[in-house]
Amino acid sequence: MTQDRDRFTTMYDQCRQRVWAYVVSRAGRQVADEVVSETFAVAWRRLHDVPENALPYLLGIARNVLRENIREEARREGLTQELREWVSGDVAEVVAERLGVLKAMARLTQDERELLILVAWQGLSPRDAARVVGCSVPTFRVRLHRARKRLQRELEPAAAAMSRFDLSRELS
Amino acid sequence: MNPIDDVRAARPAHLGDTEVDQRTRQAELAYAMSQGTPEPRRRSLRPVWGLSLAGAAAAVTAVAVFGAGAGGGAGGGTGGGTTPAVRSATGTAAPMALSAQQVLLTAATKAEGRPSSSGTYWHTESVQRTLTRAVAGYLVVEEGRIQSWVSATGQWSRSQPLGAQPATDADRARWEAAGSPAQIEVEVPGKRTRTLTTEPGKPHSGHHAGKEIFWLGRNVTMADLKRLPEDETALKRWLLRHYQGHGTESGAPMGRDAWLFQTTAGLITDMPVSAKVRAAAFRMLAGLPTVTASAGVTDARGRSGTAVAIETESLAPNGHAAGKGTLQDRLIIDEQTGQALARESVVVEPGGLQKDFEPGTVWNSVTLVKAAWTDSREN
Repeated sequence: MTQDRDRFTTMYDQCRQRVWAYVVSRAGRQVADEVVSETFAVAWRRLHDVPENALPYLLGIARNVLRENIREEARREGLTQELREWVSGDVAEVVAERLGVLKAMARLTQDERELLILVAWQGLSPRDAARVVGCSVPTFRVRLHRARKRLQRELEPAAAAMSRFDLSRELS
Repeated sequence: MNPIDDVRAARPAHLGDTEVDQRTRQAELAYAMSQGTPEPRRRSLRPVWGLSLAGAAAAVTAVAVFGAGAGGGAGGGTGGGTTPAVRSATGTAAPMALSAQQVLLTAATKAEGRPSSSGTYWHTESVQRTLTRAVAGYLVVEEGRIQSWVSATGQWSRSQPLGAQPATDADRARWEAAGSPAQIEVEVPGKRTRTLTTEPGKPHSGHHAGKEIFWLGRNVTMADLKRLPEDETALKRWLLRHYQGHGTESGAPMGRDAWLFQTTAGLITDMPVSAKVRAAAFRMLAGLPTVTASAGVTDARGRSGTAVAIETESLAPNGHAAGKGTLQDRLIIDEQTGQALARESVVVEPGGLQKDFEPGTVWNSVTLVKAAWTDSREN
């Protein structure tokens, strides 16, 4: 009878912070713990359905919990606050280049940003990421391609600004 | 540069690989596992997890007494179900003279003497009982039956909620005073309540095609089980290869002894292993310094056996780091046959989610009704 508990706890330890980070990137910190808590409660009930590679499955649950349990308004508010934090990083700590990328990401749509985060920060394969967002793998690839393009465009002016910044530092 | 690499490099530190704090971890695990037992598999997925002996020991709120001999799950009296075994654990009754080592070695000898049986399916049937407190205050026993047939290539299972009943006569009186409701709202640590029904539910059948049915720290097949070492030292080494220090319900990482106890108990109760392997598992448990034994322990079906037990920390309630108590995870073994009868979780020192309960309270139990090879399955 502890087999389920052991497996669940192992899964929790391996995935909890990844799920939390995903939720924060979609709705901010305010609601993150609540959503994560609910996500794992659902995961426990469905434990016998959770695949060995649990993370994509958990992110999928978190996505639904977020949609069903958190008001759109609260989600947007939390996200705005979170994105503000991304771009207001202390320049002494945050490398300018990274800051530029985060600023560019903050300007993307929610959906575009999500795809990039699933692939780059969560390290999911296109197949797993497609499962999380609920589309086919070919569709996912097309959408990811668009999101990358869009990010690249957003990065161009930022990159220019950054080189100026670096130059000004060298001169000072 | 690939913009994905740029994005990867730009990840804010707080979204990176940080540690969850222990309080949050405990609260979230406790909350999740208080949601009843995991449901039967709904669809076939690539990986395979063993249907555990009886789903999982879930309801962490549960408290109370199944009472010795309360075969129907509704008997016993509050505190009255305290068994000598538990009293010995708390130091209030004389522990038996026999050491854990001796008990287990005896069981091991019996196990080795059993003829090895064979059949197409490894069949187990178990009944799980969990205590919860109704919002109205009285205690409720929730029962469920799980049957499983495992062949070398798949698993068929059937599970059925058997309904909830007031735990004791006193609880029944309060339930009747409330109008004998067929729907009972019970507390769940955290924010929610759950509604139990007194009527048995519909059975769920499931089938999973796949070879890796059992869980021994990782997925294993029936063929893997056939290859398990028959020597306790080698068996211990084999099992520990998959031990990574992960805890279960306690906040602290789980020690090797506790982990071995959990894993081995699963092997003893759940799995079709040879008599020699089962004996090696008993001997291995006997060698663990923190394992204790008590004689004359009665399970929820009124069967008597010898308990081997290990103490664990109780769970902390959601949002509180309050004083933790101690639970006892015990495996009741029939020495005559070397087989396991039940697995129970008992309150030793009230604390955490079990703080309102008497020492000796069995708040969760799984009794094994059948475990044998058979040539046919019923679902």
